Amino acid sequence: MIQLRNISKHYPVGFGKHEILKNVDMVIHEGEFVSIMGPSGSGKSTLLHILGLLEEPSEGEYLFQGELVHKMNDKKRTQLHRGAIGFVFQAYHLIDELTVYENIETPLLYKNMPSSERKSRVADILDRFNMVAKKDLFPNQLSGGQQQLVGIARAIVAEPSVIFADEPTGNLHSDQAKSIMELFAELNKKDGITIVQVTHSDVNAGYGNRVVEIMDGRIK
Amino acid sequence: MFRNYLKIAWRNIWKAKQVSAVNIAGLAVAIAAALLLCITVYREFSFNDFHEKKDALYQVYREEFHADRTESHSNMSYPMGPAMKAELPGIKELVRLANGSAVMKVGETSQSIGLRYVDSSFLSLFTFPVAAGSGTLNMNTALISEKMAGIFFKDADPVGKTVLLRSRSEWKSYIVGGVMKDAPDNSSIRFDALVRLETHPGYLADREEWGNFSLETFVQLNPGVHPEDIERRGMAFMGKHYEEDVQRMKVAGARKDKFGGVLHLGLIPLGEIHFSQHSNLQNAKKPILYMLLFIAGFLLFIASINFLNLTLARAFTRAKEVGMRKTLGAATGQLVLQLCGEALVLFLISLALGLAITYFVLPYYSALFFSEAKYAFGILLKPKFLAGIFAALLLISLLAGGYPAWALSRTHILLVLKGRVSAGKTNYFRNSLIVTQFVFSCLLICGTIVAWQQMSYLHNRPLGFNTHEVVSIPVSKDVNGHQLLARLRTELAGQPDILSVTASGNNFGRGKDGAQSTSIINFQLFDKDVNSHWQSVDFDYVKTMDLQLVAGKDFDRSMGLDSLGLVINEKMAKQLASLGVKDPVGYRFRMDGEGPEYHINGVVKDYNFKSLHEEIAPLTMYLNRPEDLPAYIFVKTKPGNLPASMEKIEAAYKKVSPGQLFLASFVNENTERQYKFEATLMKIFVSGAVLTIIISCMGLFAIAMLAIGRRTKEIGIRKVLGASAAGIAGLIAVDFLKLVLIAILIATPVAWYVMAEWLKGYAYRIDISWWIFALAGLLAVLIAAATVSFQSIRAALMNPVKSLRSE
Repeated sequence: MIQLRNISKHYPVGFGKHEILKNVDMVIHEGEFVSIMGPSGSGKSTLLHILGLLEEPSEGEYLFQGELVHKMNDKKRTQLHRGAIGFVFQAYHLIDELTVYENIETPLLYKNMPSSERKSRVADILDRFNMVAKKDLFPNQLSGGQQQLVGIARAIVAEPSVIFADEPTGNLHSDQAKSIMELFAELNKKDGITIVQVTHSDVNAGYGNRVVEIMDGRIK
Repeated sequence: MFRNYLKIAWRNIWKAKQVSAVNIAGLAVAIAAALLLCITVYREFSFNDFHEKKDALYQVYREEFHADRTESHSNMSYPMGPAMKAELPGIKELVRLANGSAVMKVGETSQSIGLRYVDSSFLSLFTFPVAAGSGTLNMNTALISEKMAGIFFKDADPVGKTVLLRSRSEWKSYIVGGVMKDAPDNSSIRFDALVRLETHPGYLADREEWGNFSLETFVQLNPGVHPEDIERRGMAFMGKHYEEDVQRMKVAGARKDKFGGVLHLGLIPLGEIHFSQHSNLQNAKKPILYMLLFIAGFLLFIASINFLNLTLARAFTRAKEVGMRKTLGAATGQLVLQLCGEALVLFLISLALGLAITYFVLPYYSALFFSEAKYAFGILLKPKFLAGIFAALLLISLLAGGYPAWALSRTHILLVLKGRVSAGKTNYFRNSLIVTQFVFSCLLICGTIVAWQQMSYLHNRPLGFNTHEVVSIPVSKDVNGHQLLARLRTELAGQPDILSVTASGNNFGRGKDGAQSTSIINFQLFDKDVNSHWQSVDFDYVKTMDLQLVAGKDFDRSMGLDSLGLVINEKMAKQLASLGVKDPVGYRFRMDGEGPEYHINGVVKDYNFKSLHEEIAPLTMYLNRPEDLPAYIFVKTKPGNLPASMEKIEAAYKKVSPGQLFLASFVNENTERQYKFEATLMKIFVSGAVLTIIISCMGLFAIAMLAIGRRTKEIGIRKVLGASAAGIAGLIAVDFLKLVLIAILIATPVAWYVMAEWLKGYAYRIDISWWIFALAGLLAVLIAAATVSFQSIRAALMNPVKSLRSE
């Protein structure tokens, strides 16, 4: 499903360049739950951003669902963001001005889904995450764990084939982290969603079925 | 989707209440000001546009191309109308109008009304609808307006009733043939009642009198006839009927118009008579109207800058949302649409508020600036106007909302999600917009100061003659000025308050009759050209006007009718001196070496007999000859009780000249009337400056608030590290004052150049001194400092723990 060939990423610094990723080769198959681990500054977040089409590699080829990413136009990428890719962030990044319900509904709006279908989808998700009572609250009225739950709900409501999670439990305490990780494992097994997460924690990495370790921009 | 946008827009506006309030208030004020100005301009441009035949209707005027001047008049003689219709092919219909004020009486009610004597074709040319009865005018019928019907007949039906009208001395009865709808506010032709021209008291006497010009004449041209065709044929027409005048003018060296005639018969399109200087019905000047439009646009521009700036400043907080939406699959177009929509919501609120302000301010506005016009709020609801408003609004929303939207949606998602929005670039942009606003503020402050100084300079500059105690009385053309002057002299002779009485062919400034005239002679002396203003005066002119004789003496009664004596001013003496006449007093000469021999009696000190726009020119005064009818009588009064003296003069005038309008005014009123245009300009300047500064400061206030909000953490850390409150307040204030200083630097040379150019229009002007710019700059800095200080002090007094915790 995902294939990286010889991916490098560097930024110009002065007259030289700062290399973040060097010749990364990686394959992620459908239905995998991959954890990317490594120390700070090793390039794991950059790798995730490249995987999520938020950033372009400096060199190398990236095939997403068999298509070359660097040949895609903006419209195609937007299409992928609408349907195939879901994101979960460490800082949740919910839209403060929208209620829980509206936050979850937003990706469906961009998919131009009819109103009745949208309602039933959001209602299903709220039900599944036990958040029906909180649907009219705003993000700042929720705890961190609950906000992240909304973040995940929003990521999966459009039924993506892959979720990229950037330290999804980084801001949470261990109990909350555990339930979030269990949710990811469940989504992976039950719904068959491919999950790629960046994490520092061995415990969290344990929920996945493969660990990719990265050090100084190279995969070990 | 759209509902979702609206919801977010509303929540965003609500969340940033203060910023939104500033945005909305600033825009609302600008919109209100712009609407007021547009109403003014629209009304002026809509004059006479309700006439169905307006494209075929023209007012007739005549123009005389004298050697030294061009005179135009829109009053015509009685026989000209029928003759034009008979002799000039292309004229389909023609109507003559005479103005008259009359007293109307019905039963016990009597009141003076505006009466128009018109040809029967009046209602077929002009579109004044009939409300009741019939619109045909017979010899003994009158048509009255609805307003008059209400006053004189209350609820009764006036049609068929009898009214009495008195225009000179006798009462005449008419039968009301119909009731007319009141003339619209934007009509140049207004009336309370219409009767046939043939019933005019002067009709019989003037019917065949070509030389008495008192009627306004309008023509309707046949389709396809170009007004220029009529004007070209008009040359022959004027040559035929005014042969003597044409001959006389040609002898006097008259110039020719574009068709070769010295008397020009011209046509003013009906839509132009409100602006045309040829028409008596002119009541507006186009340059002022364009200037008003410019100011309207300018205020909107300043307010839009605020909007742009505040939206950009808020982009920092909005960026996260935009980034998130992008990862959720929002296309750039959708984001721009959403943000523009928010701008539109804000603008609509501002528009509603602006309309409300306009509604309440309108009466005060017209009283302050355009006292003669009645403005109806209803103008705004006309489809043309509404369409204009919405088009303007949409345009502003797109520009002011579109740029931030475009900038935001373009930012890279990653930077946004990492919390790093490219602040640097937008700051430059933001700062340059603030600078732009303050450049304009400074320009307007400078302009106001300079204009104000110049006006007070003009106001206070001694003109070289007595302006405060001399009354100027225009003499009607149909009165013999010599007789009137003699009678008035005897009548006023015994009065202790009256010091002297004289007359002249020229007035000072612009009197209540509105006329101004200049005559200049040009002759050869020692084979050199001599130019001089040429003015007829009567005995005691020098004494009455308090002119100072520097040599020789004034005209003397003991010398008899000294018809060849002259009194000249110093400039003329200087001109003669350059030709070798060292001692002008007693000097005798013939103009061009022929004609009568003139001699110079005296030389007076230079005085400003024209407006201060012009330098003092050479002036030669000669004694009124029997054929030079005095056009203005001047009476010098004793200082102390001017109004009482004025009353005495009026009583005497009424006695010696019964039935004539008394249009007297003090000379200083007349000289000030010359600067009416400047005075209006001044008011516009000041109001524009004040509004610009207020709106700019509103923007600055909000920007300061946002900037401080963004630096909360920095301020907290500085405080923890021991910075004093004053130090922090200064730190923030300096950031903004820097911008104002840059604005002053840019504005100063521009203001200096523009105002210097403006002053060049005055022969007598102030020097622009450096302190004007220092003062303007200081004012701008002070206003900006006061605006920012509120926010910066609040920031400096914040509890650092609080600000750090929030991060």
